[in-house]
Amino acid sequence: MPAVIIQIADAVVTDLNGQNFSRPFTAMRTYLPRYKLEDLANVQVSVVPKDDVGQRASRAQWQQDYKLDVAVQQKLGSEEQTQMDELLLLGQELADYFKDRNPTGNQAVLIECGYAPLFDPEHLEKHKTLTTVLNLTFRGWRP
Amino acid sequence: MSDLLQRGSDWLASQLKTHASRACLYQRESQQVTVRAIIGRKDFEVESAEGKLYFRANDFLIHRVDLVLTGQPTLPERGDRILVDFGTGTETFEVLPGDGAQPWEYSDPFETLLRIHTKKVS
Repeated sequence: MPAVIIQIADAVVTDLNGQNFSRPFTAMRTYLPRYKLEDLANVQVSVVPKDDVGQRASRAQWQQDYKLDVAVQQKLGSEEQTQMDELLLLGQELADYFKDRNPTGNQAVLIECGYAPLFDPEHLEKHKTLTTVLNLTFRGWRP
Repeated sequence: MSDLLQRGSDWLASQLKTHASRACLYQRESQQVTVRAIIGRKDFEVESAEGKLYFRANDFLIHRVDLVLTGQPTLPERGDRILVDFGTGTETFEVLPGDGAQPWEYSDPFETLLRIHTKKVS
């Protein structure tokens, strides 16, 4: 059985791909998103397991925070601002979607969800690409 | 008497255009012009917290006087596109900043050639 954080990441991917959002995409789990600029003509969504940090909760249990990144990326066309608005709306939809449900079943609960920073200004300036990363923190318990 | 170095630079630019250039279609929205460009290529890999991005960055050297859109001389702008066929189909490059902040610069002190930084987008 895979590590818990991988199970959570897979559950997030399955959940995202089973839902319709304002922009179509197929999410995938990866350890390191790798794209060619020309591959970003369509929205790419990558779910990346990031941190798995434990704090002792009792003699027998550890409270584990599992952090995942959900990266949304697309190369922008001539309607740069309009496309950015649409992609940031998609980002908000993804965040709000997870606030209302728990894709992991009883494995963990979402305790933190947000974009900070909202987008990568260097990607925007140098590559005319919007990269926005949703940080999700799920909390669970392990012996 | 004109500047000998400038005459040499102009001659070299004309030789490059004649012997080492390729026809390209320069586009800005619905406007376009066919120009001859000397093309340089470099492949990049950029690593950030979000992962890795790979891209081909081509520099196009174009005579400044050739860049004329709808009858008006112009200078490159971020987001312009250059279409070129290397023999395997048309490839599209977008004018975007290179290492510096500007998407283009003059290639010589006499402002004869434009060095236009681009990235392959399709």
